[in-house]
Amino acid sequence: MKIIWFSHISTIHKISPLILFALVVFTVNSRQLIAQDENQRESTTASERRALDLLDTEERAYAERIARTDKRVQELLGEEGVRVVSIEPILLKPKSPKEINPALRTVEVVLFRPKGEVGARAVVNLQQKEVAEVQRLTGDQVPMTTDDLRDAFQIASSSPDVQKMLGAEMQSFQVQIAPGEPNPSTPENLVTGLPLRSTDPKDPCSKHRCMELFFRRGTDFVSGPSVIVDLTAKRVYIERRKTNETH
Amino acid sequence: MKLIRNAALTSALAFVFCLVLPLAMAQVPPPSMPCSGANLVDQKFPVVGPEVTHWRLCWQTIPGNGLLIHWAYFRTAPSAPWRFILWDGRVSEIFVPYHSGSPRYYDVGFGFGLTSIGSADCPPSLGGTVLARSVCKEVRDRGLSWKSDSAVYRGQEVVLWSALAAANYNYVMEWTFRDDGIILGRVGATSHNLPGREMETHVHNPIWRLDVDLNGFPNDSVSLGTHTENFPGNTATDTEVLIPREGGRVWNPRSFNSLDVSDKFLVNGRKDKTSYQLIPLPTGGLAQHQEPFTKNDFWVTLYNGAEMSAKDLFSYITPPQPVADTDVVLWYRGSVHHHPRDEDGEIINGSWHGVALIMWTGFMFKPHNLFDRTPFY
Repeated sequence: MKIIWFSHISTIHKISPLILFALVVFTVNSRQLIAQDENQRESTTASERRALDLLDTEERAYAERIARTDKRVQELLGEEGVRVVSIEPILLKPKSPKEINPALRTVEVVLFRPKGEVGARAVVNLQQKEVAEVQRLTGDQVPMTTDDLRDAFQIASSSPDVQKMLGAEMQSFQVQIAPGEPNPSTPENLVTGLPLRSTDPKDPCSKHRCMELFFRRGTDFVSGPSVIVDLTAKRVYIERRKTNETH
Repeated sequence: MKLIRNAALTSALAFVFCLVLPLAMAQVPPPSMPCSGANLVDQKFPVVGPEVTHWRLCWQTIPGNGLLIHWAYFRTAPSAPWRFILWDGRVSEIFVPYHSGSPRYYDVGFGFGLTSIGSADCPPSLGGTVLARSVCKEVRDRGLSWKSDSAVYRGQEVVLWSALAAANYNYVMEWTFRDDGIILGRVGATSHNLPGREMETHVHNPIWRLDVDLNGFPNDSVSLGTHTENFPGNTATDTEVLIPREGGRVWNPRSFNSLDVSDKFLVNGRKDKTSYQLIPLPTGGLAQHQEPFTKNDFWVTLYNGAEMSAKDLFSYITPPQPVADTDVVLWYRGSVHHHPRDEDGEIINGSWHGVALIMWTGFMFKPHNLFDRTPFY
């Protein structure tokens, strides 16, 4: 029994360098792979900007300039009175998966001309410095912005009902600037708004760009009639609210 | 002698194993992504210990739509290939009609920004990390994954959320990526009831647009999963009927309807066809309104990069184009039926004060035969 045991030990001794070598190879390979994996991750974060990384100020300005000066955009909107609705990085889906480039800096610029209520969506390729595609947008396809809110408040300010509702404080109300926009405002008295659309064909807001305004004092809202501004017709509609539903 | 032969064989196998395993691991490098830095989420599960599953995805915030998800990849094991699941997921619109017929708001129709988020919203002690001041990432325990007598496994998940500041409302947009490959999408409506109409019942209808690219694009098809009880009698059957053309479907809770997306070539290791199922998770029910885009709960469209607006869905499917083995987009509309209650606030000196407590609706996007076996067993 002892002889057999010793012969086993001697065989295992003969094999052990092989096991040791294999373990060393495994460890080295694994470490290399982990390092490679980490390098790849780091290179993803530290290398050139990726398609959806935030635009810097220069890129935004550049994309806007390219979009505004594009002939197709100018044919749709002209050059005067054109507002920026949004400028955001996008990742367009190519026709074939083989053409996907996750580092391609492409920007979607949405512009709007209030006069005539027409908009345009321009896809700008920053690398090639050109507009890749242009799409015409109708007024109801263009999201409203702080500019629309400002217009709506200006129109509403002429209403005696609104003046009465806000009283002497009216001048202190400011339109709410979104946190992501430049110079976000946090005054005590804020004006906010929501786009609305009617299903009643007799209601101008079934076709026009309309927004309801809300007036906020601190954390509470000013109670009063509904203030609906028709941005297309530049009119304000004051609706007396029905009594609250029972609950 | 037999023992010696076994020892030699074991050693040889160990040698081969040690050489081959790292090479096998090398075949699945992380996919190159269209984002970097804080916008890249790379999360393995379990959080502590050797990896079993792994998510890799990008997020982006834009005015109006809020928090978007791009390029969600998942792998079922460290040695398994990365599977592309989602090209783009977003809330396309939040439509809010009031019971009296007017107003009817389109809350994504304004380029609202996101509220700022701090440590009170997203406590680090609970696994929260604030990203770019407006997004919270939470890596957390998600409760029981399975239990069998004394054996138990608790699941984990990574959650991204942000809150859209939409006038009197805040909409919390939440995306959850679970260790078992499930994606959850939820919207929670909160903040203040409509000024002056604090007690009027209304419905918040978030409509998600999910550009699903299972195993990449194209080659995806969608079926309507349906459970049927064969009355009269005790039997039941399940069917998956291919949706051949663009169109909408009404969700029937008694039929357990789901939209099942599959890729022509994608099977798991058992050669079973892989799919992902879009399953509604309503809170109470789903509404229908006068507007055509609210008549269906599910919609399937052919991918078109210019078709992003849920309120225009009816025009997108007119005329309906074929969607079998193509690049498909799924749309799902949830509903929050908000019947105000005294718990939403109080009247002090004739003015309303208080908050609308959060109410949720959402969906589950669940893998079917993506794994070869039970994960985390």
